[in-house]
Amino acid sequence: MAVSLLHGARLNLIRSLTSFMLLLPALCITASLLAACVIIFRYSFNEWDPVHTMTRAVTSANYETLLTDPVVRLAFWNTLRLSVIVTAFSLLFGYPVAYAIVRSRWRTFFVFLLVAPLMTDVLLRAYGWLVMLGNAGLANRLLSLVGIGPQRLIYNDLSVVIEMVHEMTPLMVLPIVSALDRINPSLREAAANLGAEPVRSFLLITLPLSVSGILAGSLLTFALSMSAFVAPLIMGGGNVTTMTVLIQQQMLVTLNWPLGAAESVILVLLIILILVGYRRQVRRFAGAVG
Amino acid sequence: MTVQRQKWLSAYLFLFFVCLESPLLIIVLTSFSSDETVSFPPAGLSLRWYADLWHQLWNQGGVKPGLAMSLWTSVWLSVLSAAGATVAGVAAALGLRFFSSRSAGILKQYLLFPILFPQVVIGIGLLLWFSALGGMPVWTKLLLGHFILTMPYVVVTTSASLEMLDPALEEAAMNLGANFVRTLGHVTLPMIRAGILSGALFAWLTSFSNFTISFFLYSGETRPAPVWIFEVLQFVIDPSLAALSTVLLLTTLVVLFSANRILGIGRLVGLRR
Repeated sequence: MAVSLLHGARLNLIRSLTSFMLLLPALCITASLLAACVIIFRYSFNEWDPVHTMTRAVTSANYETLLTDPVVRLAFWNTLRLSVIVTAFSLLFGYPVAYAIVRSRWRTFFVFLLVAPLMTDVLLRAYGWLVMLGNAGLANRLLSLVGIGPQRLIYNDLSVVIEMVHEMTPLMVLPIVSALDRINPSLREAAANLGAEPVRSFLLITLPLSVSGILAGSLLTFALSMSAFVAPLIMGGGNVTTMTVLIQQQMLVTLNWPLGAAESVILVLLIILILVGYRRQVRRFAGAVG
Repeated sequence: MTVQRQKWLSAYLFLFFVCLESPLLIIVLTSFSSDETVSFPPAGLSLRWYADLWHQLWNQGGVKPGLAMSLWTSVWLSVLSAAGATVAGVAAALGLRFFSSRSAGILKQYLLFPILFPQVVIGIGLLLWFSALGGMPVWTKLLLGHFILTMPYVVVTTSASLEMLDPALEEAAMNLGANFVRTLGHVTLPMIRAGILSGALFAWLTSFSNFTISFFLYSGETRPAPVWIFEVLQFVIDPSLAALSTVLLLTTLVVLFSANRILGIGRLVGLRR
């Protein structure tokens, strides 16, 4: 009895040691990001002036600047506004695509087409859009044909939204595809047999059962839109300042590290807040349905 | 569903994919332009921008120096970070199985949070950290940044494979006298090799095409290709960039296509079949 207990304890020790050793490298990698966050947090309380640059201090001056500066406020507003617009359009364009893909014979091929642009450099895609929407681009030639061109289509909100919707829609489609995929087809057949019109069966069966995919997709899209960087930087051409662009200017151009750090802290907190709030809503919704 | 509605849906799907792939197609078509400047559709076709690209690759001077060096940086950075992320990610996914499902869930959330973390903040965080440390070579920054970026994907794909693995197979091996390491090498790893491979490919693609993190961490000549393209874009927009983009695009598509052949993209993104 005692021997086997001892043996069990030793086995347990070996097991926990093994699991710890296996997890160690990955935990270290993630911990280094946490360490970087701690540094950002600490720097956000430092002082800065153009002559001495950054000095060690504990001051809330940077956060006060964030509250009062109209440039920062505009950047916050731009970020939120663009994220909401992009999420809405991605859902609008993406849902029918997911619906069609699930019913298609060539679904693997379509999923490949969806993933292909995601796996290419976002800069290349932005560059492609610049060429397409530029003054001598395809879009303006078509507009000229109709007689309403050429228009300025790049370096404004519109071009940023176009690029971001292009970037995010596949991320919206994939979760919806996998949600629609899990719906038992006999439910729809039963509805049809009982005399439900296709529209009615879509609204009462397919749509409610795909809500989990819609929620997952819009959550992913919204969070990634909040932290989008390349689209506002390239497609905005300096005219669309979002939080990320502002942070980049602060860190690399004006070299006001404490203010840039404070902006980063707020951006991350905002994203976490939205994710957590969203998840709570999702839980409540799931509770109401289930 | 009526035939009519089916038709509309197919037409929409076609239009959607045309829009989705059009920026990529435009880059490819522009690269064969014979014009001096970028316009679409191009006035004539030629291979002159590929010749120009070839010339840039071997001659370091000119308006766009350092192409060869940045391509080399991209290659070693993506290969090393994918390899490192795969080892760490697979080990972590195996380690997670020792925990109860509740604590494994919490640990997994912790390992996956970099996916939704703003890349700009990852970049500046490491920038500030390494400048506080001082004297660290550039490649350590870049590599750590890309590990953070890519490791979660390997954890996701490997965990998904492990969940589908029939535990009876491993138990059988153990009952037949194989120890932990032997079971791992002969049963577990071979059974989940698709998950490991797709995670490694995902990691490689993500690292190879990443701009944001590299942008904050590069310095001097150690400059991955996406950052090089960005810097050149500030001065000139000529079709040679489209030629370079086409080459990079083709590389990623070949890798993605072979991944699709070996593993099936559907499984990679979590479809049942």
